[in-house]
Amino acid sequence: MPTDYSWSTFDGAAKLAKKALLRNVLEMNDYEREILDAINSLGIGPMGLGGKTTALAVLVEICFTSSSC
Amino acid sequence: MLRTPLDKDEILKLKVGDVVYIIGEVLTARDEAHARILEYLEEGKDLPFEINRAVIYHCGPIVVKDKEYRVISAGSTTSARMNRFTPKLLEKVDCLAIIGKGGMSRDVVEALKGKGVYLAYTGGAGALAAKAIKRVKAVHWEDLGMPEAVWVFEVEEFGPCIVAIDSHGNSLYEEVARVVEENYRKLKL
Repeated sequence: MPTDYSWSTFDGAAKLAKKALLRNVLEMNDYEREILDAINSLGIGPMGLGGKTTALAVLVEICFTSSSC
Repeated sequence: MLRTPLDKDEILKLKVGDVVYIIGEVLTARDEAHARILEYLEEGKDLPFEINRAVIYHCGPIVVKDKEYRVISAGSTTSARMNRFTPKLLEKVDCLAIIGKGGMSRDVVEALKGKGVYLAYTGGAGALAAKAIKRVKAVHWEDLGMPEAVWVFEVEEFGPCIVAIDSHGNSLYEEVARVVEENYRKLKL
C-alpha cells in the first residue's frame, strides 16, 4: 500500500480508477488478493452464468477526501 | 445447431446449460424496436418481418454501407431492459429464441414456458459475432437509428450461445443466484 495518499474530491475517483486499471495485475497486495479470493468464492462466474472465475484481479487505490466534498 | 425458422420440438428439447449455434436468420431488436413491435401487434398491423419461430437478438450493431451493408460489430446488449416488453410479445408467437446478455426476469421465464428459450451470448464479443454474420438481408425501421433498427442478419454458426433459460421454467441465472447467496453467507470477512 502506498503511504503518500493524496487528497481529492469526488472527481478524483475517476483518476484513481484509471490508475488502478493500468496497474500490473500480477502485482496485487495481500489486501487485494483477499478481496479477489472472496469474490471468486461466490461462484458468479463469467457473465453471471456460474463458475470459479468471476474476477481476474482486484486493484485498490486510496486517497483522502472530506465527507462534505 | 439451430436452424431458422426454428423447429419447436427441437427448442422444447433444449435444457439449461446446453450450448447451441444458430444457422439462418437473426433479427436484432432493442428497446425501441420492441416498443414498436408491440404497438403494431396491438393495432393488429402486420410486421414487416416474421417473428414467429424467429431468433431475436438483443443487439445494437455497428454497420457501414459500402456497396452493400457490412457489419463491424454486433455485441449483445443487456436483456433486462426488454423485460417489460417480452412477455407481451411472447403472447403473440408460438415459438421464439432470444439471444442476449445478463438474463431476464421471472415473468419472462414463465412466458417462455412451452414456447422458447433465452440464449446467453458473451458480452463484449461484438467482433466475434460480426464474423458469424455473412450478410445483411434487410433492415427495417431505420428511422429509429442504426442501433435501434431491426436488422435481419444471415448468420453461419452464430455462437457459442448458452441456453440460460429453457422452455420448462428453468433459469441458469436463478440457479446461480441461489448458489451465490449460499456462498455469500459462508464468507468470512
